[in-house]
Amino acid sequence: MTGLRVVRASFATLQDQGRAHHRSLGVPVSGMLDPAAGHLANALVGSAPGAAVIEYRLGPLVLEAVGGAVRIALVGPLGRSSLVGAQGAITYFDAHETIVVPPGAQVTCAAPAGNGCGYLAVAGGFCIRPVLASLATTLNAGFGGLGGRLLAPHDHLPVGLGDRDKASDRECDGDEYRPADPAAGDVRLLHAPAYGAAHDGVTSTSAGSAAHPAKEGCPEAKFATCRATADKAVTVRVVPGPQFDHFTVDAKNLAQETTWQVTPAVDRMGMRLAGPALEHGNDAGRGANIDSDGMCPGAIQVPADGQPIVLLADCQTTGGYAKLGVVIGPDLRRLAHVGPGDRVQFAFVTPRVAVEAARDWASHVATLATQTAPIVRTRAPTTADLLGANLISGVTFAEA
Amino acid sequence: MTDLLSPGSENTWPAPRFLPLGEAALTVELGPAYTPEINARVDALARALTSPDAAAISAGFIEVLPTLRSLTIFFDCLVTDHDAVRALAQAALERIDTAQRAPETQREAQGEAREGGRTWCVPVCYEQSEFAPDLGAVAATLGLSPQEVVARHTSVTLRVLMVGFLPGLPYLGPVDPTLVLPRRAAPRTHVPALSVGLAAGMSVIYPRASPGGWHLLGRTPVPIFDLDHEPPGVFAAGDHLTFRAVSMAKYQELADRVAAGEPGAAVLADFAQDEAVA
Repeated sequence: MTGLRVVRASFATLQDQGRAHHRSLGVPVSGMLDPAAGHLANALVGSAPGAAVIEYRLGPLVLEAVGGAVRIALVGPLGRSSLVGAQGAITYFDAHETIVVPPGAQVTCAAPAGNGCGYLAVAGGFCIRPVLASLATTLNAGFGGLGGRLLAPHDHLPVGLGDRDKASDRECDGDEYRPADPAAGDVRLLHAPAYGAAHDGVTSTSAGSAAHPAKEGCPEAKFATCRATADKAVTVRVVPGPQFDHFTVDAKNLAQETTWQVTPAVDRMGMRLAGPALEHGNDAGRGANIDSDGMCPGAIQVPADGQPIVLLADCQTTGGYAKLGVVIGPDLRRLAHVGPGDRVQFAFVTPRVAVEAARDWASHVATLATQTAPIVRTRAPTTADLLGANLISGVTFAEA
Repeated sequence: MTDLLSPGSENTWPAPRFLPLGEAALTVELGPAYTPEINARVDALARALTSPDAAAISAGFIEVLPTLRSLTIFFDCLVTDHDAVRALAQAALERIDTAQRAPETQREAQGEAREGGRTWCVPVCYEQSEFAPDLGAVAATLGLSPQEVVARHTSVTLRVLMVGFLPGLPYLGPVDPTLVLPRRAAPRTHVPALSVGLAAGMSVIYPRASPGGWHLLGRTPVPIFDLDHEPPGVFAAGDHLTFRAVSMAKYQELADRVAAGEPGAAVLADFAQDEAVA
């Protein structure tokens, strides 16, 4: 059936909004590190906000359409991507826009800038059996997504429901397959979200460009602004945590005053930071170790060595270290685009401010999702376009 | 058996603390540290909050996560907030306390029926040294024989205090008071799946291979977290469990049934029935 075949991927997983409702079984929530980016990618291709997407980082993602044309959208701090048709014609495209990948064409999704994450959504969604009602990959537990693992060359990701029978439809997370119609035209987001201080220069550039001359193809050139601002730390707002009173007054001040270095110990479970040691008070049993209680992505746990660990999507549901605070949702997504060598700062806010920020952010993203414009391509149709159009209008979907 | 939910005629519970866990969760801490009594109260609060009538009035409620001495309530902060969720939890605690102050007969009719959960009997092979690498050292540390450690480990009905650390991993307790010892000084990088561990006055069963710092006393043949079955986790907080020592032959027999595709929960139910008859 129609789908995408993985040609090359370095650190790519299927993710959706994750599996809440199973924390009492000890099942991590998982899901997209930057849900807003995934939401916008889905919106561009007409999929539901929480539909599964490919989250990728640490290099480009190369895919080939198989069996039919697939409309995709890329969102993230990405440079220019390219599509090579079956006849060798090259089309360049940017993040925050859709493009149709004709069967046999290969799409090279640009490597995210720095430590960023890219998100690829497909019209019709992925048709893969969900685990506990979710396609999110939980790497450390080895389930969800595609066999609970990273995507690898030769993996086939079926798109949409195709002509599967009803019984198997229920085991598939895909939407009804809609053949990509190039005549319908591609769209782009008018305004992209900010990804984090290190990447904010990128988004304004890429969202502002309406036309895409193919020769201006060097992604590095685009990220000059990105490098210039890379020294700036990403500031995230933090609600004081359940064990805030386990820390000395000095530690609480130090937590905010310090520009924390992100260490190489970063994965989808968490991010270790390095800086001055945050001391626990250690009075009346209020130390680094606690009787395990509930955790969530964003929690900042501080073991006895005083070095904070920010927990991310795949984190355990319970934890036995004192939690200094919790990075609020709208800011936690910025850490999806932060990695070793980057710097992070904390700013404490009240729970009330955090709730308001989450509500404002949700409505902001919903607004961004509706503000799209048709793409006016300045070049003539390529062989790839024509090839795609022929296949779509014909009856060659019998094999899909 | 003592009633864990009522420490005396007076309400002597510590004041609950309501601790925000980010913008979309609230941890209700029922005591400064884990005790079996506090844990039973966590369980009662979880049941009160998830009973059909309570769930109906709480818009934006996502789920509750019971842990050793706290309960974390996850909610949709676009719909509700910490204050509203705190009010729900406070009201539920008041209902629990009111039910406990009621006379015995009335209590049975009301809240007590909610206490409980399922009861399990879990076969453990304590024989093979491969299964029980720490049994000898634990016995030596506690000044007991390995046989005495096994006898005491299997003599007490344990509660599932919480599920966490790994999908489906139950924290069980309290163990026999003579079996209390700290975790291993050096955690293992590889604990085999279905190992039964002992530490900190509690016991655990590792659902799958993992690093871990508990003393390993034996192994069960029955998988306790299996995504091919619904629900995937066998144990839930509030369930009761006893370990039962089995021979290597019995271990193998049960392992064969599991390998043939029988769900873990079904194998455990049969085993409990056989044991009850025997």
